[in-house]
Amino acid sequence: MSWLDGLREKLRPLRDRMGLQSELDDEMAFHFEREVESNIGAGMDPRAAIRAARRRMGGAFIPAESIRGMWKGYGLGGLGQELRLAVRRLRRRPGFTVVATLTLALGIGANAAIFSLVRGVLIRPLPYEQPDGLAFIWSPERDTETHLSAKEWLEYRAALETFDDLATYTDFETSLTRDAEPERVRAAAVTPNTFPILGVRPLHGRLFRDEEDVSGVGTVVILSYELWQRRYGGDETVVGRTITANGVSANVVGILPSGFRLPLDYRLERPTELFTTSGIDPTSNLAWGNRGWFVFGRLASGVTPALATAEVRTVSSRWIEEGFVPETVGATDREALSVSDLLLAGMRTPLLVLMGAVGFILLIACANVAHLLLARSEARRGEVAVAAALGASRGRLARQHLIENGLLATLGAIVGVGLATIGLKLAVGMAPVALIRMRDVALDGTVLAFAAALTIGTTLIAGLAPALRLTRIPLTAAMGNVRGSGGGGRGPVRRSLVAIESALAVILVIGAALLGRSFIELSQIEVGFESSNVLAGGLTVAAAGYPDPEDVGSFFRDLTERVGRLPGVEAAAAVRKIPLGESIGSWTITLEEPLPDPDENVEPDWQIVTAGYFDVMRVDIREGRALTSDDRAGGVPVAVISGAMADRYWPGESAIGKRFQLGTLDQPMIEIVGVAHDVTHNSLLEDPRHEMYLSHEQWPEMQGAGGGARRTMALLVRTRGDPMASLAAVRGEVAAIDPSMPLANPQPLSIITGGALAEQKFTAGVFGLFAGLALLLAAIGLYGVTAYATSRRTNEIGIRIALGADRRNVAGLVVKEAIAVAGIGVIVGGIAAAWLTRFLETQLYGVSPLDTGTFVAVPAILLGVAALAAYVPARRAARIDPVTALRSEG
Amino acid sequence: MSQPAATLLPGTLEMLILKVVSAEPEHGWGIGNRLAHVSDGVFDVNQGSLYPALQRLLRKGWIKSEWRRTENGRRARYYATTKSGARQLVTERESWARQVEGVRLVLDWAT
Repeated sequence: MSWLDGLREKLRPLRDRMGLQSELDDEMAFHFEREVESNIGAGMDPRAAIRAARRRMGGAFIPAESIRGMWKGYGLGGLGQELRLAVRRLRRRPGFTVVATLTLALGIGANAAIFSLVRGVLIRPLPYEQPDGLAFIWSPERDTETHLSAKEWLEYRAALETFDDLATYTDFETSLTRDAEPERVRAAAVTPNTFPILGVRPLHGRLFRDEEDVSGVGTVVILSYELWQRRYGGDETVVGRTITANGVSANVVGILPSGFRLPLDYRLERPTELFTTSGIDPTSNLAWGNRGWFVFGRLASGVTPALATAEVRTVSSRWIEEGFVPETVGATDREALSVSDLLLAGMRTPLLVLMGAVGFILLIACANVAHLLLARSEARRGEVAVAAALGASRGRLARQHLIENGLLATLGAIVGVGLATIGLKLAVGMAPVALIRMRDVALDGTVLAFAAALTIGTTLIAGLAPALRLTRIPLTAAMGNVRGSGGGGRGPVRRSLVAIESALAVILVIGAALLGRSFIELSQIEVGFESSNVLAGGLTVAAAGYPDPEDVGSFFRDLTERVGRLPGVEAAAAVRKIPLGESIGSWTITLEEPLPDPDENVEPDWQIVTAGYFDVMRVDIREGRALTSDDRAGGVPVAVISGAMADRYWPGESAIGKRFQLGTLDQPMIEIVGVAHDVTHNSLLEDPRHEMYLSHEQWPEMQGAGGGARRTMALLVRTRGDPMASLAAVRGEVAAIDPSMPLANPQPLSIITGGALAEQKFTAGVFGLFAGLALLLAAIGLYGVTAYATSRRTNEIGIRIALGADRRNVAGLVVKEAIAVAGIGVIVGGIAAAWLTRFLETQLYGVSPLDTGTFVAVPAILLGVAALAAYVPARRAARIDPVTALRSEG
Repeated sequence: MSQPAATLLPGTLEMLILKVVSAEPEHGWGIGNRLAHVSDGVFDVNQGSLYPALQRLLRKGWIKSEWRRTENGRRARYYATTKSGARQLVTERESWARQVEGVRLVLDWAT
């Protein structure tokens, strides 16, 4: 061991020449200081003491020179000498280096990650030609889909001069058979001008021709790149071949470039993959009220959406005057909404709030590092003053300091970019559908440049002040202060750093606490059904194989019965719209007993279910009975209604036995046989809706003569264990009835309904992470600042104790002072938070932006951190033997 | 400072340093100070001899050094004996004793 040490020492000049030199310099500086101190102690005045010490050291550096001579022959430090010196210095204080690097890395990393998100989602343009010129004709309620009729599209297209051109499309689902396993894909019927307006060119083949718009519907198709790759292996000869969609042969004319999405597809998990033409025939007698089309177009050059909105409203009000469109449709409220507003407006506030939050984190990190550097420069005052006195130039000292800080910042940036990469991956994995553009966000050159700029800024801000201060210390002051009572430990700079950090941390933690509480509130909402252990998948029964409504009815009856008998399956049912999965619409009905107000419309949501739905979803029946397999075609038409609907129209009496009809014409009366508990359908945030559950097999008759069957339904299977484990068996039953029928998008129901909270989860999760980070950084900062300040006061504490102060009182004094400083910050932060939380309002649920509990608890916790940070070193200082403490007085 | 500082025989300084740091780890200034103090001002070693001697001892592996904080928080390089340094001190003491004895014999013989 000692032999090895000896060997290492012998070889050291070879491997660590710079280190040796810097050690020697430090050692000489220390020797010189002690010499001066000892002279002062002997009664000399400081000036004379320094002169005497210099004289005695015999030209100061001669010994160092002669020792260097001993290392000769081991080679010289070349370029980057100062850099290596800086590395050496940092390595010698590993605690400082690690804390400073990590602090900077967290600040820079969080900022780089969020900047990437903001850039990728908000700043990066949508991948269309001049996306700013694209606008939808939309209702003021941006979150609900605005459908127009084909007739309205034609009329707008002819009338609006603020648009160069208007296109329209509608979306649907279709089954692909032949070529491979049956598969359901999203499809769209588009007018041929759709792609040119978006500025999309085909990868292979061609786009639609104008004359194909009517003739080609369903028979000419364009494939998305992804569908082409997945189903046809990227085979170019697919262009010109026929494929089978919904049982009909269609000719593939083109392939779109990779990554193409229709604008509204940015709101969807699965984009549209198959395109056909619209089939809108302008020469035919189109109905004004048949609304099912999205209308968008390219604004004429120089036209703002506001200008186009004005013209849209003028044109719409003319239609109302002429009686084409009833006023109730709200056509005069429609606006021309730019695509980016439509898709991104909802995400703008949360993302910018996040950006602000990470900005705070960077500020906290900078404050921490600035403090660390300040503390270090304090500790090195004497050393540097001596070096300056011995002839080192101030410029050189400042340069050394900056190089060291720059090195720290670079280390921080490198680690930070690593952290950002990891953090971004995590965030992208959590991304809700509304942030679908996040999925392909990555750190890129711009973001790295951003991180580099942050680094330089941080170095300059955090490093320059201490560097300047360091080089301006007069020697005598430094020598005198080295032994002083550490007045620097309570300097105004350091105190304001503590206050600022506390303020920033309070703001962030309050924001996170509010979001966290909303998240808990949201999670506790009663949805009225159980989503665990249910498998869900889509089915569409094509008219080709099942022409009559009875065929459709028996298909779903057979299928749910067969699936229900599978081992591991409790029950199976089919439903029109899955709660919290897809929006449900309403249907105007007429109650048998007239309402007091004859003008009041009764518009419950219409849900079509097969027998067993209430069992599968575990929706409780409050009164009466559920729908059963006996409620078939030809029987008495029956319905179950929601509790909210029963309470609204039959308050204080039973709804059972009451009757209503769909519409006002010749539809049969439907008898209410049961009242079900309310189910949350469209959004967790809405009040319970009026809802009617109608039997799938009775649905065609309920609509009156010639009513069609509901062909697209979701299959729901309640399983005893993991729902996905039953998938193969369920698919087998579907194939046993119809081998060409695909089960669309099978997944656990809990995943579908869980998506209802995705955005809130994302914001709360990311914010919570950052708040935790901020709290951690602020705690480290508070602890570091307070602990350092306290340790500088060791002498003073020693004197107090020697003079008879109670040890506990002394510690209490230090703690009180720390709380006072942090308290100022906490109050300022609280006031700022009270103003800033209004930007969170749209993200909050069930908690006020000025929630009292949060505004009390968070500052209290932070003050607790500050008190603890002061208490530990204060107690240590108070325990010091006063003699030891005083001896350091020299 | 009454008497002029004595000059040391070559190699003696190393032995004295070994002796000082074998008691407890000490920094360079402290070693010089201790030597002056204990020898009652006879040996006031200047830095030009002290630090090169420390380097020689380090390279021979008889002492080791580490950076520590002094009681008032400043960083200083402390030296301590190694095991081989402790053995060396014993050897040197014996050889010094023999030398002194030799010198005494010679001087006594002259009278």
